[in-house]
Amino acid sequence: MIIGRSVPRIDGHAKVTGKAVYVDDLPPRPGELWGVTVRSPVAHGTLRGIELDPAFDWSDVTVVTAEDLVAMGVENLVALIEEDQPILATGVVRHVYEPVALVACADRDKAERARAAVKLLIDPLPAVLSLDEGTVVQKKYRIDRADVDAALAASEVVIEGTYRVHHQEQLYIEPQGVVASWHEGETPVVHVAGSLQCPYYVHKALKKAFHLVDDAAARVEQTVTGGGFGGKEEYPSMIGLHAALLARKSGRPVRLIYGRKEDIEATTKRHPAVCKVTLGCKRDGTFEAIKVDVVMDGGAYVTLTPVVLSRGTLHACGAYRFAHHRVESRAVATNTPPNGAFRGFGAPQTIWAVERHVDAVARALGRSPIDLRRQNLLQKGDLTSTGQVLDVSVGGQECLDAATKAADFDRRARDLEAWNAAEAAAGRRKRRGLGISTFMHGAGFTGSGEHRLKGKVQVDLERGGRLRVRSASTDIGQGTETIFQQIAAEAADLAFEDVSFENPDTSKVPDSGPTVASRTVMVVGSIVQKAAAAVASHVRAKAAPGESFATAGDRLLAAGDAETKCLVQYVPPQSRAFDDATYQGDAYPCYSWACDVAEVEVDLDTFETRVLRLFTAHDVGKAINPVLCAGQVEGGTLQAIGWAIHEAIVWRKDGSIANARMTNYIVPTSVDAPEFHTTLVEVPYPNGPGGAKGVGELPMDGGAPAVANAIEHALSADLRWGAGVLLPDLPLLPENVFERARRAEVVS
Amino acid sequence: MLPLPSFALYAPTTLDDALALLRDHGPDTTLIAGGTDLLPNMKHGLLAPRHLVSLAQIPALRGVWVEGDVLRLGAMTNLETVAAHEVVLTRAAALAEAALSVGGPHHRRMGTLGGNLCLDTRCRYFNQTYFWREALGFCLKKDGTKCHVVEGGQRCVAAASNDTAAALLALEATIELVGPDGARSLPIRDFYTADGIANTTRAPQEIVVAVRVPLRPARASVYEKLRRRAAIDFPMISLAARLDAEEGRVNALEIAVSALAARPRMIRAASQAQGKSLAEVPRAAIAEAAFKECAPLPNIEGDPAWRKKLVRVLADRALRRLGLGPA
Amino acid sequence: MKLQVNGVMHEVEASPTARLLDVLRGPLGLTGTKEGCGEGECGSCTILLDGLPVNACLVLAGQAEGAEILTVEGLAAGQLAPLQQCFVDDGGAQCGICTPGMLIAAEALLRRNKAPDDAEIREAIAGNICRCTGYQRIVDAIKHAAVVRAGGAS
Repeated sequence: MIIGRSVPRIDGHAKVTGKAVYVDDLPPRPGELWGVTVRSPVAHGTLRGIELDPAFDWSDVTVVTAEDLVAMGVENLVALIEEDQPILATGVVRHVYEPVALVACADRDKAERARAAVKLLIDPLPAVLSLDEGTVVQKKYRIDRADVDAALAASEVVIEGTYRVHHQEQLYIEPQGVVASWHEGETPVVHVAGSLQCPYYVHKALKKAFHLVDDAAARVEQTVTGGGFGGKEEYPSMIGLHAALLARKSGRPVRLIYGRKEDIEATTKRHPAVCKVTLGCKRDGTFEAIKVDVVMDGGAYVTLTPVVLSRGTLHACGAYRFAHHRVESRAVATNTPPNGAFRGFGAPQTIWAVERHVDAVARALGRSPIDLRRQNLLQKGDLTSTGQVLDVSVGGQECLDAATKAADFDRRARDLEAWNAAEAAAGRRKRRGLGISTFMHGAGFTGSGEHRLKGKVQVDLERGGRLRVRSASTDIGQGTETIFQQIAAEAADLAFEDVSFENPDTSKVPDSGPTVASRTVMVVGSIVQKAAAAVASHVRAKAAPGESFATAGDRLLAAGDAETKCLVQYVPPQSRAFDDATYQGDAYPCYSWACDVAEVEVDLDTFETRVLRLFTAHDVGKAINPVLCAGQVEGGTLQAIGWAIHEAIVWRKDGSIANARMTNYIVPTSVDAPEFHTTLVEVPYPNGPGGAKGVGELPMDGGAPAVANAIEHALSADLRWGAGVLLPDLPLLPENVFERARRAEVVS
Repeated sequence: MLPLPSFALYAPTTLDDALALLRDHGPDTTLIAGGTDLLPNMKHGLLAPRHLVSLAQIPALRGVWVEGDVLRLGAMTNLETVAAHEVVLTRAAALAEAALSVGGPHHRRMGTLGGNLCLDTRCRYFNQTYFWREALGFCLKKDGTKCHVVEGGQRCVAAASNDTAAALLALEATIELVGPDGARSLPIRDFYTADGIANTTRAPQEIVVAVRVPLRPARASVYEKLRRRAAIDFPMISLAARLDAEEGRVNALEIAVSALAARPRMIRAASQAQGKSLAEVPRAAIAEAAFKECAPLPNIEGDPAWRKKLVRVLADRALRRLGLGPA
Repeated sequence: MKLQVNGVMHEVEASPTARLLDVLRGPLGLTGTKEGCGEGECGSCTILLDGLPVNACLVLAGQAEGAEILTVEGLAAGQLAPLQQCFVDDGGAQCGICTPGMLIAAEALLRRNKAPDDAEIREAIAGNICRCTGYQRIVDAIKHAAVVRAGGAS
C-alpha cells in the first residue's frame, strides 16, 4: 500500500538543499524591470487626478494608470464573483492601500523613488471603517428549517450570547510576487509566473481584462510557493494583472514582489464577524433550536466574500444536533482592504461563536463542556441545518473520544485543579486549565459548486512505464505533489517513483479547479485515482503475455495510442441537490470532524496565556500520508492559537494599519507553540481516494474556542462572572482578558 | 524587498581611527555596532547616514573583565556572551536576565551591549515608512513638529526600548566614552535624557567604550519584562530591581522602569525599603507607588492602562524574587 | 571583495555596504537563503557567520569579509546531511521557505549541543518563524537528527 504510508515529500530534497526555486529566486531576465504599486493613503475619496512630479526624471520609468488601461483597451476589472473591483482605481478610492498607479524601472531604487514622485489628488469622503457602521450589504443568506420561533418559545432553557472575532493576516513567510512578460505578435501572449494557489484564477483574470479569446494567449505558471493559507487564492490575480500591464506597456519583463509591509497592508485578510446566537434546549441539556445572526465585514470590494459568508453560514450551527435552525447572515461593505480567503473560509468565525455559546449553555446548566458536547454531537443519520442527512463518514464522536482519551481529560482536569489550589495556597499566581472544542468542516465546494466547476485532471503515460499527473492543484506546502503521486501510484499499481507531477502551468495542465476548500485530496485526488487507473489498465490490457508494463507502454506510445492519456472530469456523487435559494439540501459531499483539547497556563497578574499542550483528533477519512496530514493539523491549529492569543491588526482612525511589520504583527514562535499530541481518526468516505476527505481548513476551526474554554477553566477558582462566558470576543490578548477579568468578581 | 539606502562603510581597527572617521565625515556619520536595529531603521528610511563607522573590528571594545570590585564589559561584547558570563550571572543577575531577553537568539549573537544601550527610541508613529509618516504628518522625532502620542506635546516621547538599560540603571553602572576631547565616564543615570529624538548624552562624535558595573557583596538583582511572545519582542514594560542587604536589613533598594517614554525612570518609592528588615519591606506599597509613578503612553504596542497595571505586577514580582516583604 | 562561502573563496563584485543577503542571492547565485521580512524578524535568511547563526539581512557584506560563511547550500556533501534527511522524513518542511534558515539555526545548535532537549531546541529556533508546521515536527526532526549524528539508528 502506498496510500497510508508517510512517503518523504517529493519536493523535500529541493527544499532542504535550497534548490527549490521560489519566484524571487528566478534569475533576472534581460531588460527586466522592477515594478511597484502606488496606493491610496485615503480610505474613501474622490480621485481628482494623478500628477507626476515634473522635477523627477521619468525617461526610463514606465507608469500605468487607469487612463492607460482605456488607451490600451484593457477592461479595468479584476474578474472574480462580482464585477466591482478595478485593477487600478478610477474616480473613487474605496480603501487605504487601493492601487491607483503602477511604476516600473530597471533600477529598483529609482522605482521606489518614482513611487514617491507620483502625487495622488484625492478629496476625502466619509469612510466606514467597521462592520458596526456598515450599511451596504454585499451578500446575505438565510437558512430556516422547521420552526425556530415556536421551538425557542417552548424550550425549557433559552440562552443568548453575542461573539466577535477580528481580522487575521495569513502571514505566509514568502510574500506575494510574480514575474510577467508580454509577447507581442500575431497573437499576443501574456505570461505570468509566481507564488500562487490557483493558476486558472489568474488565467481567467488575464483573459477577461485583456480580452484574450484563446486560452493559449495567457499562460500562468506556479513557482514554488512559500505558503498561501488562502492568501494566495484570489490576490495573485491583482498582482498578476499589475505586472502584466507594466510588461505590456514597457515591452519588458517585469518583476513585482511585495515587501512584507505592503503585503500585510494591501492583501486580503480574514473577515471580522459578529455573531449573535440564541439556543434553546431542555433542562437535561438536549439541544432543540438554534438561531444565529451573522454579520461579516467584507471590506471595500466583494472579492470572495459571498463564498466566505456562505461557508460561515453553513457552519454556524456547529457540530450539533438541532431540530430547528435559523441562520441569517450578511456581509457589509466597509472602507477597509477587501477581506478574502483564509484557511477556514468563514467557518472559524461562526464556529468560534457556536463553540463559545455551547460553553455558555454548559455553564448555565451546570454541565461539563465535554458531556454537553457528547450529548448533542451530530451522529450518523442526523440532519444538519440544511437538512442534509449525515449518512457517511461521521466521525465526531470518535474524535471526541480520541482527543479526550489522549488528554486523559478528567484526570488531567482534576490534576490541574489540584495544581492550581497548591499554587494559590503558596501565594503564586499561575493557573492552569483544560478546554475543549468539537467541530466539523465541509469538504469540497459548497452545494453545486463542483457541478459548476467541472474540475479535470489528466494522467499521461510516459516512456519507461511512467505516469505523469497533470492538474492545476498546487502544492503550497501541504504536499499535493507527494499525495497525488501516492494516489496515482496506488491506483495504477505502480511504484511511487514511477509517477511524476507536472508543475501547475496553464499551458500544460487542465483546470482541476482552485486549490481551496479542502478539496484537493478528496475531489481532485479522486479523479487522479480514476485517470491513473484507466491509463494503467489500458496498458495492461494491451500488453502481450509476458510483456512488462514499461515495454508495453513504450510500444503503445510509439504507436500513438490515444488511450495512453486519460482526461477525467469530476462527477460529484449523487446527492440531494442543494437549493441556493432556500439553502437546503446537501451542502457538502461530506464533513471532516475534529476535537481539540487545550491545556493552558494563565498568569493571574498579567493575564498572559501560554498554551502548554494541545491534544487533537481529526477524522480525515484516510490519511494518505500521515506525516503530511498531521503537519496540516498542527500547523492549522497553531494558526488558530495565534489568532486567539497573539495576532491582531491594529487599525488607525484613518483606516490604515499601524502594525504592518513582523515586529508588531506577531505570530507564534517555537517557544510560544504548544506540544502537540495529534491523533488521526479514519472514518472512511467512500468517494474519496482510499477513503480520504479534506483536512486543509478543519484545524483552523477549533483552536481558538478550545483555548478560550481552557482559560476560563484556569480562572474559574479565582474569578466569578455572570451569565455566559467570560471571553466572548477575540483576540484574547492579555489586556483584553485583563479587562474582562477586571469586570468579574474576584473570589480568591 | 527591503533594500538599504546607499552609504559608505568604514571598519577601523582602533578607537583612534574610529574617532578620526567620526571627525572627518561630520554630522552625516553614524556608528554601527551589531546593526540589528540600525539596519532595519535605515531600510525603513528612518535615518539615512552617508557614512557608517563599524566598531566590529576594534578588539579593545570586546571582552568582559573583572577588575577588583568592578566588572567591566566592552561595548562590543555581544549580548549572548553577556548573558552567559559567569560573573554577570552570579553578581549582576539583572544584566544577565536583561541581555538574555533581547530579541531572538540570532539578535543576541549579533547585537552588542553598547548597541543595546544606544538603541534608538521607538514609537508606533515613528517606526513607519516615509510615505505613512508623511501622510500622517511628520512628527517631532523626525522631520516634523507635532506629536501623535501626546496631543500638543512639545517633547518627543518615543520609548526607550533597550532591555539592558533598566538593569544597568539598577546596578549603578558607569558608562565609559571616548570622544575628540578624550575619555570621560558618567553614571548611567546621567546617560539618558527625556528627549525621544536622541535620548542619551552621548555626543555624535563620542563612542561608548565600556560599561563598568560595581560588584558589591550581598547584592542581588533581578529583571522583569513584559512582552507579547516568549521571544523576539521589544519590551512593553521593562523593570529591574537591585537590593543591597546587610545582616538581614535593606541597605539600599533601587528600581528602574523603562519602555515608558524616552528616559528610564527610577522609582522614588524604593527608598521606603531603606533600613527595614527584608520581611518588613512594604512590597505592596512600593509596587503601588511604582504603579502611580509610571505613566505608560500609547507610543508602543499594548494598551497603556494594562501596561500601567503591569508596572505594579512586575515590581511586586521583582521584589518578591529579591526576598522582600511578606512571603 | 572576497567572501568565504561554504568552504570556497569567492571573488565577487559587490559593494561592502550591500546586505550580505543580497550578495549571496545575487552575484553568488545562492538563492537558498530567503528573505521573508528584511528586518531580522522572521529568520528565513539565517546563515552561519564563523559558526554562529545570524540574519543575513542584517549583515553588511563588508562585515562578513574574512569570516567563514555557511548557507543551506553548504549543508549537504553529495548526499543529504542527516539533519536535512530528518527534516524531509519527519515533516520538518512544508512550504519550505523557512526551511533553509531553520536548518542553519538547527545546525548551529547541534554543533554546540549534541543532545539538546525539546526546550533547548525550541529556544535555538525561536528566531525562525514557521507558519506551516506548528513547530512540533521541526523539533522532532532536530531531535532525530541529533540521534543520527551521534551514530544512533536513523
